Amino acid sequence: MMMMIKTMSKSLGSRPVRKLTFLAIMLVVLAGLSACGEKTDNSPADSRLIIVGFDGMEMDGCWCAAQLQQIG
Amino acid sequence: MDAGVLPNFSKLAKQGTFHPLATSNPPQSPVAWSSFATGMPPGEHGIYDFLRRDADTYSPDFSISKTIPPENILNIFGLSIPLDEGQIINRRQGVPFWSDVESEGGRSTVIRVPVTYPPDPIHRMMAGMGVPDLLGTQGTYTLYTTRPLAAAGTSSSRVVRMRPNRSGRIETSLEGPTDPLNEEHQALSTPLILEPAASGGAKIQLGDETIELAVGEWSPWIRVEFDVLGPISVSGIVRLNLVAAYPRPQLYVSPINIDPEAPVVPISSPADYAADLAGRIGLFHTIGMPEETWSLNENHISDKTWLEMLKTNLDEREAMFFDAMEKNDSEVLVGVFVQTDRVSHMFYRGIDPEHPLYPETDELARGAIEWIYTEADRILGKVMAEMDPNDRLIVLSDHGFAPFRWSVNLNRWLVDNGYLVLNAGKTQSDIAFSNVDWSKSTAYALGLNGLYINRKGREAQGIVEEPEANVIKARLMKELPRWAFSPPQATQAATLTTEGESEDEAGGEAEQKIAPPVGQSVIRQVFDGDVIYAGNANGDAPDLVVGYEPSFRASWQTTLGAVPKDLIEPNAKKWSGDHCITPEAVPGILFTSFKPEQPISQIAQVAAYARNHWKQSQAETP
Repeated sequence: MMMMIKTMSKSLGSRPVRKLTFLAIMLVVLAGLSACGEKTDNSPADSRLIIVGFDGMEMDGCWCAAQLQQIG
Repeated sequence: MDAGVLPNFSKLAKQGTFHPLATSNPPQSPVAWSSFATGMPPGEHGIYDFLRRDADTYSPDFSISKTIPPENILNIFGLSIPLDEGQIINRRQGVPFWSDVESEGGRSTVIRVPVTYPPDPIHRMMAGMGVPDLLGTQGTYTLYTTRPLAAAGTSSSRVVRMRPNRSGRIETSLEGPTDPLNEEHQALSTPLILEPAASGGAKIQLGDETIELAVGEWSPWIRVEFDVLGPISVSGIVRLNLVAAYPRPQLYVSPINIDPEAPVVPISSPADYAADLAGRIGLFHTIGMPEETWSLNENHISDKTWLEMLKTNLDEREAMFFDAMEKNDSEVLVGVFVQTDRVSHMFYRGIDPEHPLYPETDELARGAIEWIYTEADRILGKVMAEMDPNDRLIVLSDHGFAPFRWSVNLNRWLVDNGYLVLNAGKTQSDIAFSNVDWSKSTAYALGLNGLYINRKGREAQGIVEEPEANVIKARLMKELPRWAFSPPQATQAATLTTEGESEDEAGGEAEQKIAPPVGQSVIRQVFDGDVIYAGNANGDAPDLVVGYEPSFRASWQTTLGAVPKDLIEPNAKKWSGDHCITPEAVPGILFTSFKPEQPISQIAQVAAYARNHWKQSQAETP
């Protein structure tokens, strides 16, 4: 980061206007980096625990009792 | 499985494990899913029932969330301007496992799990049961009718009488939320116009949109804007169904869902997730309990229309879940499909030959539960197909089901046995104990399973001192399980016919079907709240919990604190299956794609498994 700032500083020279331009660019860059830091991590998960709920599903008393009991 | 009806459940069971899963006490969804999320018993997470009672007023109150209005309001020029923000609180105590995983560096995506409103600040969440509609209720539909029709008598519906002019044009309005800036809190509304369509249906203008519907047809989502002040408006979405055609049209308008693209309250985490999701899968139901059941219970819509609405809900839920699955950016992914529960509630009459409405059921009603189970199997198959080899899968339910043939008026029993005393000259009471003399009453029932002692110092008009409270509890725990369907009650119940029929009209078969179970126990067990709810996290715990026998359940009147005439009545409603009974009679189920390292025999143990799994996977990461 510091290397990048030094390089940009040299290339922009020392005139006040250029300094202001440099500062403005840096603010934009820093804001961008800051925003990147706040971004959600959307990288792929190595492995997942997946939980699926079926509310009220049963194994007794319903038409599927026989079906599900056969599995058990 | 040999018949191949549930091939994916079969495959999963062979691959890993399958067994019953003990549910919570009482076995109600908000209670059980709160235990699932936190790993805590109800005494610690503080959710004991769909309803809690307000000890100051003896009125029923929603137990899942609480809205606190702004404290400082400036009333000026006829406007009522809030100077600070109100607050929405999830009454559930404790930390859900998905938040624990995040605290330890993981990411969680949670889709529509009950009791997640307001949403937890995690990687991604769509809030589930608890999200209100735009009226602030748990789902109020509106039926516009040109026929005389009694209101359903609950807060779940509004019946609006329409009067067409000579050409059939009807000008009315859809009432929305109350004006938040108006001192008198008048309802905001948007115009609704109906006209006969050449096709035989109706041309309907709602807000800025005009559509044409055939009889029985569902509209797509329609956005309705309720103007507040200047550019400020509140946005909701509704679906319409033309229940009956001209010349006597009836129009069903769904509960006004919070617009996911412009939510007025937080319904997702991050806040813009709901809008992003809508951008990908289209508009969707946002209300916590979208499968609005009361319109079917009141016969305001047909079985077919209701099942079509439920299928839309299922498709939306499926799209949400697989959107999250395809993103593949969370170590924990949880989604709950509630449609199995709703169809079982409304169509148990189709598989229970002893239900009063069974003789009236057609092929559609008799096949509805089989249909939703095969849909569940189809969804499970998709999940298994999209899993990576390293993924682990748990499939569970929060409770099972039982027939609901008999409505038990528990407060009637309390009156008849001297625990609840009505005002002089009164023989019945409306909801919220309107005719009860609290200065003489020692116990009352409210909610689906709760029974409370009228304790001095706790209830506003309590009279029972502490030592006596334990004596009354002990008596009730002994007397209620001895309550059997006695001949006088049986005779009384046998003369009742299903709603809308006279005794003569009820066929011999129907009479036989509702023959009362003389001598059968009504209540299997009464549980002591001090024992099963040690801790009583928020003071809401009932003193006693009533475990009904299968086929009996607290009547709707009991849940709201009413005292009707009869002790027990045949359940003539389409809501014909239930699970709010003794917990051991309605266990849930558990399937895993692996052999768990630790036992998962109760729903509260899933959270511990999820936490340990994450810790272990972290420890194994090089």
